[in-house]
Amino acid sequence: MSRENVDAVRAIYEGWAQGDFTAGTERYDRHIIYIPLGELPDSEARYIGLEGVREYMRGQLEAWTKLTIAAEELIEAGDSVVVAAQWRSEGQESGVPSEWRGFHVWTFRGRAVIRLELFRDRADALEAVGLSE
Amino acid sequence: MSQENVEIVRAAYEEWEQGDLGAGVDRYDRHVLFIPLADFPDAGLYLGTEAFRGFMRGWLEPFTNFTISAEEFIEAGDSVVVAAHQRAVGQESGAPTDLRYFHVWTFRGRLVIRLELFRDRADALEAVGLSE
Repeated sequence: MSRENVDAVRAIYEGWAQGDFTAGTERYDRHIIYIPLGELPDSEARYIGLEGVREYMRGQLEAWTKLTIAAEELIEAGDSVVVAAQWRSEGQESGVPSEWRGFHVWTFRGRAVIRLELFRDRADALEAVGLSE
Repeated sequence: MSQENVEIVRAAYEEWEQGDLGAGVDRYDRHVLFIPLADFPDAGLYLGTEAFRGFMRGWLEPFTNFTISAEEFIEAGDSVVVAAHQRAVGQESGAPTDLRYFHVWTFRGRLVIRLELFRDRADALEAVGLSE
């Protein structure tokens, strides 16, 4: 299942890299949890379920135009997949381009994604799945 | 890691069988999601260790001699399905209760990120991508 999970995640980022953030939503468990960065203002917010993830994504898409998220590296770790990702976008009002790198950790149960968590640091993302650099 | 997860879960049930339902909490991720049976009185989603503890306090309150033992462990990647047997005695009624159902534990690294209960074996297995 692990290789299949990596391929499923890869396919999602192929969509996200084109700005299609609906890619892969059929893989989301109905009680999926999205956990944003701990340091952000909304860090205490927890997004639960398909509607919760949609709410989070709507917030992201409202703040930015031309938002894309591309995967630069995928690391398999049991039923989890760590992704080194690159965000590119332009400010909705300012038009200023921005670029950011971070790490997503996807965790599957069976074929479904039950948790997606964002980390700023590679070491923290790896530690979350029981790996080290 | 999968066999290690089974051993961790097995150790928790060894304590639960003695009535120590606090066993294993050190393995819960701080954002652990607990999903009880849909027909439990307090059915819902309990996110985080404090919410989980709150559910457990409410759940245990009406009972004495509450134990949960494991009758079977099924490894499925980073998840473990457990056929569980719950026994308790009503606090006021003194009536014994006996319930069999299924627990699905899912680990990420060394920590449990979801514990979900299922009434039916087939549903528990399906959740982890297995079939009977």
